[in-house]
Amino acid sequence: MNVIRVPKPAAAPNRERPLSDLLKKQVEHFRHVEKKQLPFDKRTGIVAEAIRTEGEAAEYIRMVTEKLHRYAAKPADATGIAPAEKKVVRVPKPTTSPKHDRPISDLIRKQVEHFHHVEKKMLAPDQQAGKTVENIQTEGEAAEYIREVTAKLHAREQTRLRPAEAGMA
Amino acid sequence: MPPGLNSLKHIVVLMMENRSFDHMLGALKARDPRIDGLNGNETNPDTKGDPAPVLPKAEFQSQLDPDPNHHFPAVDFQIFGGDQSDGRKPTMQGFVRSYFQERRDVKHSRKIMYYFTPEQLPVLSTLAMDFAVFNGWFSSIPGPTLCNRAFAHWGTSFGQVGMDIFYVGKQSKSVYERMLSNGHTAKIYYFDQVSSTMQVVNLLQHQPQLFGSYDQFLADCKSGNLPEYSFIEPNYTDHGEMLASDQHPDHNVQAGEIFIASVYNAIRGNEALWASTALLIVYDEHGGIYDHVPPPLLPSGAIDGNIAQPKDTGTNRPFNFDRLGVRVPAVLVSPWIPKGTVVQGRVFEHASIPATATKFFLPYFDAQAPTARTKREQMAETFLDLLTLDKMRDDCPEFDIEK
Repeated sequence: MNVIRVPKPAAAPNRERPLSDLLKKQVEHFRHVEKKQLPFDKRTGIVAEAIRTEGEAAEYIRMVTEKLHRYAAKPADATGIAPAEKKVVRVPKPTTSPKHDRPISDLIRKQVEHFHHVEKKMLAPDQQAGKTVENIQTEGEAAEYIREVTAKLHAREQTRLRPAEAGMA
Repeated sequence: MPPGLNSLKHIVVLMMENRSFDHMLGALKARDPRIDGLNGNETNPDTKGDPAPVLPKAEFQSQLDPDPNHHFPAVDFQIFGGDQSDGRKPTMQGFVRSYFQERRDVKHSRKIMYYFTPEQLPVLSTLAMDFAVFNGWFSSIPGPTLCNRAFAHWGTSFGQVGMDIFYVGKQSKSVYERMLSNGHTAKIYYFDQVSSTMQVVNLLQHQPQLFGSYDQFLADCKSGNLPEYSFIEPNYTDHGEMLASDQHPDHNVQAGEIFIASVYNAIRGNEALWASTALLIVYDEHGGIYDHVPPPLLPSGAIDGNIAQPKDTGTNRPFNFDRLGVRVPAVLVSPWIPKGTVVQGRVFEHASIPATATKFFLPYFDAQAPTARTKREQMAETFLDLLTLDKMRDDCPEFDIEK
């Protein structure tokens, strides 16, 4: 028996390859079907006209196919909105961890400066945090400083309110 | 009066950070063509002159690092593409070239055009599709956070276009001062003492009793003790085991999604509160990220006479507070809003927030204190007319937050 060996391609998949005319048409057809068969709130939200690579097209086609299988049998009303149903939306948890050493943004830099201004204006010198705010560089350092000043301001306010509260009682 | 307004007792505002409309919600146009989002063929030139297209490739974190510039001169460049002539038009063609300045990397600068798909943002997208999404909510100033947030509290930034704001001798009363002095209730809930508050330094100085933490907000929702007007601040920093939830680049966008869902769930979890509350979710400014809609000019009657001088704007031009900033996501949530409401043909900005609260809770306020609100705020659009249903909806979504 003559066995013909079929070699494995040397190339790896190229998800960045620009779309051929064939794939462009396939995407267009899927876009057409998506708009026709799926109600507004079940569509992919992908702007099909923006798809430029094979990888993007593959993902779009997978999503539409999956949604057609799940939802296309349910008729939309005249407005294109699906019939009322209890909708529970799952909200995924982020996979990243807090990064306390992230350099502070301009926003947090200004927040620190404003708190420093308030601290100097409202707290007696022995009540102030005593930090050189220009040295605060990370979110962790900024967070700790802001926590300290906020707590002191609240404590001051509680002390200030106490006589009035006592008077009311 | 529609029954939704008759039932309304609480307005809650959640202000997030630094994302543009197209970046967060632009993809929804493919689901509902009434939403003024992206067609997919929008571009901006990069520094080599090549068009950088919008692409659904936004990532939750680590993509917009360094932080895109959103100070006044950079936003001016993003809107006008560097044109400083008198007859210039807002073309929205300067975003990629502006972002290039941060890292001087052409490939990286093109990422400012990336946007999220609705699957990536299940909370914001669902709320936008299920309640009311605003096609035309703009930041109040083409500039950074603090002056924009000032409009949400005072209806003005007192002529400031930057971050150094200390309101000495201010005449306009904040919405909180108005509420309290007229026997109403109002509170600013910041996330915790570590994140604390932004912008409202003067309020913190004079009226710290106005403040509560997010834990207190949750407790107040549960016990039915929410004030009539509440303003919620997200967590601005990674600290302890917690991620920042403000969505400011380079903070995790999913953490912000969870925070929005938790605010919604807290209100929705108390039946009486849910029936009597309107929740506005809005972003303070666009954070330097692409949006395709040119910010409009204000009508002359809304111009207060404030002028920021060239030394403050950082451009060669003064700014007369006659043009709004870049468009931001805004969604109004209430069971009295028809599903799939798209607010079209109207212009909102952050002065719409105190304007709406004042109109609803203090309709007599201008007669009582004619100079306490700016012309800008008096002219601002309000949004409670969107609660039009005769009967409360029973098909509103629920969010199941992964633990």
